[in-house]
Amino acid sequence: MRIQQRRLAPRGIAAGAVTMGILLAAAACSSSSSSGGTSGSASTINGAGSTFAAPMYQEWAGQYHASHSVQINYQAIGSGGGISEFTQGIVDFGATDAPMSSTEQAAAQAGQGSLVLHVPMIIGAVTIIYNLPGVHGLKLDGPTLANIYLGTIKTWNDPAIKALNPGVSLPSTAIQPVERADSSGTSYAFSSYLAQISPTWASQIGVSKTPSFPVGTGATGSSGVAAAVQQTPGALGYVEYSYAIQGHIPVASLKNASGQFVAPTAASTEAAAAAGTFPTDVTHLVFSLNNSSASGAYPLVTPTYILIAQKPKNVAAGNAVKAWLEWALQKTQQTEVTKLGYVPLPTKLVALDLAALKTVQ
Amino acid sequence: MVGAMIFAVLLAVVPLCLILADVIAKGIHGLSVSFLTQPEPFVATLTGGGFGAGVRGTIKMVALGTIVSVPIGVLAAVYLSEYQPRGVLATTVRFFSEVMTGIPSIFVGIFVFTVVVLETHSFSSWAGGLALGILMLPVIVRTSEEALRLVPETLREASLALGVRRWRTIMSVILPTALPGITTGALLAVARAAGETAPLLLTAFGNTLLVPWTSWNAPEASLTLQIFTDSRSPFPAQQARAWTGALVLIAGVLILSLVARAVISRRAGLGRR
Amino acid sequence: MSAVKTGGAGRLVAQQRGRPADALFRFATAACASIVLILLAGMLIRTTIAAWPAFRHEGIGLVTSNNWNPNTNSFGGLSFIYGTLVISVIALILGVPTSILIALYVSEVAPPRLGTPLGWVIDLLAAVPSVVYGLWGVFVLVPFLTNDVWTPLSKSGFPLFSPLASGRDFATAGVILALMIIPIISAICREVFRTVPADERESALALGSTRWEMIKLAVLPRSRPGIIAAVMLGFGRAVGETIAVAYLIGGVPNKITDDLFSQGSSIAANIALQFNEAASLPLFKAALIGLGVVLFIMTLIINVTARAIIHRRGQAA
Repeated sequence: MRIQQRRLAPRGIAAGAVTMGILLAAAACSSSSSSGGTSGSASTINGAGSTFAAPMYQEWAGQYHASHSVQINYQAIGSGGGISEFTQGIVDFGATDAPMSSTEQAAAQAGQGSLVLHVPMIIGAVTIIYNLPGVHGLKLDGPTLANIYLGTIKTWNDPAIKALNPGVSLPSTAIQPVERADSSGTSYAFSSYLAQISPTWASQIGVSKTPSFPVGTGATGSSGVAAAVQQTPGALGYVEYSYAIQGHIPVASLKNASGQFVAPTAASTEAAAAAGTFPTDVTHLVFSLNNSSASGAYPLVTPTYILIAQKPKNVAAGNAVKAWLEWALQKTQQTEVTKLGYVPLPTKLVALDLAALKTVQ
Repeated sequence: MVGAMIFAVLLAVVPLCLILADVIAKGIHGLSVSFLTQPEPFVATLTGGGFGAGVRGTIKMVALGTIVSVPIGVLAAVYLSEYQPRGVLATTVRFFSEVMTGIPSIFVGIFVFTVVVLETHSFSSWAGGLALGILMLPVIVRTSEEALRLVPETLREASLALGVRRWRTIMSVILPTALPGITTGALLAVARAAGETAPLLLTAFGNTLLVPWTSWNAPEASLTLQIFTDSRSPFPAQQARAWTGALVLIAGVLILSLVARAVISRRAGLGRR
Repeated sequence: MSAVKTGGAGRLVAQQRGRPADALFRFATAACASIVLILLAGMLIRTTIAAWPAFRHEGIGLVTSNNWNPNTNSFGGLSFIYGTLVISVIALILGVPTSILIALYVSEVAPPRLGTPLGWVIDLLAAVPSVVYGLWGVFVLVPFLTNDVWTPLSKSGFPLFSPLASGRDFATAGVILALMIIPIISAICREVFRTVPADERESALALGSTRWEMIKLAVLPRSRPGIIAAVMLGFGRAVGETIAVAYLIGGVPNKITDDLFSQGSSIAANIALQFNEAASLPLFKAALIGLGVVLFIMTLIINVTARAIIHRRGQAA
């Protein structure tokens, strides 16, 4: 009868599915045992964190892969995410613009089972973007910026802003400050600059990846801030240099500690970096480049760090990260960074970095 | 009143057309075979390359989701349709699987993160595939049960009357007959899974590199994750890739939905929705 | 010899001769069916356990207090619940009348050759992935809305709209959600309208009513439970939507305001945006998971109620 002759297609499909399932499970189990429980073997390493530095890390990863056979997967999920994933051991290195707080440091060291180093790899500028049709070359200074974000300066034609921009006709539109709503190393850099400049800011808001801004509209991600500023006349925001350049958004010049109004450029960022003072403890290379008094230095410059364990649990992955970072500190790689809007590390910092990496087993 | 209705229709249709038009207009330039197979260039400002990592990851994880959800889902539907369809278990399962189709996908992501990612200390493609499978399961159960219900009673009776065992009847007679409906349901579930982003954020995490087909323990990209990441980048080249990726995704999902509908409407008048 | 007996609904059931294959198969299918329930229960239980530290730390404040500040370990998530509800309500206000009108048009007014393909096209809206809605929303919808709709609205001085619109706010998120829930609501409404008996329509028409009057008299009253269920399912979908909302709502916590042009956040969007960072901070992570559980329970209640309404009226969706 037809029924019995009917090919047992569904049974075949079911059997096939089960077999594939078993094969996949077997493949999963076997690959897990070979990677030793962490996400990277020596040939693949995973990192996550700062969006600020992401373009550079990804470019370095690609170039490194071309010359050495190590694959590096970097996900830009934000500084906070980088610290978090690294602490959990889910990635082999973290990347953050904001140095870890003592609690974060303790947690990371507990999670990684060893001392965790901050290795500054990239230096870049945080720019102040604005949307004022007809106004070019806006000048601002730290106290004014702090007051704008504190809400005490509300309109563009406020006397404080007018004093900094003589001869420029400023409209009476309300200032619409835009800030990062999500956790961000850029927010950390911005708030740390404001805290240095303004005691009110330091006491009321403080320094954090998620400062509680009293005024302004929040946007997610630097692209969100850039977009919000571009779309809102009268808006003001802070983003990494590359976002301003790529989006062709007007940037303000900031007054540095010597009284000069400096626009964010490669030269002015480099001047700030060159004048920086660096710590001597290579296991904690955390420093600030804000509010530099060097000539021609832009005052809102931030380093960004890579977090690695001194004695990594996954030795192969740890060594791979160390080798990659040492490679990235070489001259050729350092000069590459200017293409994407960053500046090379000053030589003395490179030396300190290499010393730090040497302590990694 | 008809005017208001037509206005309402336009309110829905015009944005849809705009979305399709924009995605095509902005995404078509970058479309090429290499877009589907090559990873992104490492320098963010460069054009070229593509979402090969995401395409591969989506295929892998959706395949895993299908393998996980289809056998279980179809067998569950068999129970609901063939054994004790009015029983307590069946009614409860039927009810809750309909309810489960409305679960926020981020919640499934949280669950798989807690159960898999934290335990294995790693994001992985198989965690992502598992999350997708959980999302697909209720859809498969529902649509397969509908398909099974539509199989004429006479077929069952004839087979049983001939002395064929129950399980054999189901496997050899009922399931093949219901196969078009089951396939439709599976295709719709696949289309849904291919378009998911939120659960993969927490399970597969994303990867800039092409992960080997046999590797399931490492973080993996998906088409949706790459679109999500690149759309928030300041670099026009990456934004352009995001649009092209959206074009690929929408094209794939629409093709799957249309094929599913075609399969169903070929069963003259037996389809729903 | 296999005696045949009737099982439920008059079906013929072959008597089991004790062959293990049948019993085994039946057990396998029952097990698979149970997996659905076990999974559902398991997800709820496992996530509640994971969220427990936050419930213990904040108590009911997790959902009642508006003080979300992970830096100080303060996790009052009321603003997320508020945001979720606000954008969903906006979506319903915009989407429900539209969906009902569309469903009426497709099922009652349009000739079948136009109606059926039109129905398919509306259903295609459901096939568009969330990330594409977000991408298009950010690059196309936001500029359009900001320039052509919101700014005039905000200048009009209408209450609920603040003077300055930045484009990523409750209102825009609500608009995109409306688009996303139209296919669900209108598809179910179409089904519901289709089940209104022909003789009710015909008797209304025979009494001399226009088509619209016929709809008002015969179709809509009968369909009310179904429409309610459809609306609830749309509501459930809106409440759980993550990615498109994450793009468009601004992602700012602690915003409870009647200003629809304010940034805000929803439960799902907040989880997506903050989860990576929270992963290593136990209390933060537990708080996010806890809000996820709250979201899950919300959607459970909404969906269960909707399905119960549908089933009580004997209509299968």
